[in-house]
Amino acid sequence: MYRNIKPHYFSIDAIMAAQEKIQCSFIKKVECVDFLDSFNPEKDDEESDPKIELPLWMIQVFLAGKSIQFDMPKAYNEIYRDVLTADANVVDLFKLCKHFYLFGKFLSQLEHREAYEVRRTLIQTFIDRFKQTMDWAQNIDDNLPCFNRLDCLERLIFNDARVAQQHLNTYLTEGSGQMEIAAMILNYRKRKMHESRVLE
Amino acid sequence: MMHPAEIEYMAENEIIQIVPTFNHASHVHLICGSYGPFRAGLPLNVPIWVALNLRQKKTCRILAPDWMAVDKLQERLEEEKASKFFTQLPTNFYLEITQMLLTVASEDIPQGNDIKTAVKDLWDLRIAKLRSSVDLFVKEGRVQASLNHLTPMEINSVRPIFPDTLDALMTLHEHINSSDDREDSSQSSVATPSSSTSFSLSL
Repeated sequence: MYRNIKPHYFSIDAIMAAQEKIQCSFIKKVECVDFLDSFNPEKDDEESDPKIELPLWMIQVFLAGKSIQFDMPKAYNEIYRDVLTADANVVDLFKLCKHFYLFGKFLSQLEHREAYEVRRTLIQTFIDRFKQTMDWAQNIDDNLPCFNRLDCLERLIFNDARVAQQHLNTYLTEGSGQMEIAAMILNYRKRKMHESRVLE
Repeated sequence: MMHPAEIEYMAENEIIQIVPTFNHASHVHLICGSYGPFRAGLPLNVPIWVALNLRQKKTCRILAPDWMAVDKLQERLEEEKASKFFTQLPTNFYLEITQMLLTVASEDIPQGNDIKTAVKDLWDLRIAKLRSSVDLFVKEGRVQASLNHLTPMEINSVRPIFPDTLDALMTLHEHINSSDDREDSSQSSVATPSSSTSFSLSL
């Protein structure tokens, strides 16, 4: 409960999101980065557009040196932004991008002319989809098809809501039953003494 | 998050009337208060857990609380339908108490099935209201809401989803506040759920 939704250093989701690849091209010649050295923008080959896919964490480094430029990945380009604005509920986010919100957030932190629009879309998408996520979690019994369409962040929330709903349903149909003693309490000396006295 | 059983445990401390079938002249001293004396045929107040225990030993008869009657519940239901907000209920644990009494002492309570249906209707209505207000809260990006007269069990139904949703939303909003001159103009018009987000619940 109360999961740490915020990405942090050891967050697996954040690491996975930073692995997503982005298409980019160099605008300056880079040196001493092994095989990337061969991507030389000054070679005026109009035919072979020197585009390459690099993971997000690497792009951050090159952006600091202003030696790279990139396009927004498919899920965040103008077309998909329009789709999400029109109706976010019909989109299969997981298929589009596993870590849609997290990756999108990282992207919007980079220097790019569309960064602001991406941020706005992320927030709006999350808000628009919230009701649907809640409805699915609380009402549908066989929810695998719905679950598969949620992004990783939404899945966390969905799972929590689902478990709570199941507890409530079981309570309403079967009652509460016997409550169990917490393991910590069982180990108290006072309680052990009491139990041994009862046995005698 | 609390388990429904834990809320039921809290509900067991509510006071209820029973008619014992035995005599016990002195008071019984409990942490939650002293109860007694028990005289056969004379009603007295005890916590629900005592009542259930005695009822299971068949040494008392439980008197249904005043509100637990079909016509009273129907009135509540109408009131709840008419009101935009949550109405005050006679008890904070209506669902749990009904559930407990009807499982253990269904013979003592007339029209048990109708009561069960009426309570379920009330619960469904209030939950529907709660869900739509939660949705509205998130959609409009409000920062404060007051939900009076909400019962613990109802709060518990949104507890797993709501704080995390606000948390996620806040994380997404976070960097809008960072330095970008384009935003400064649009920022003032949009209410961002920031650290000042509060969701006050007064019961």
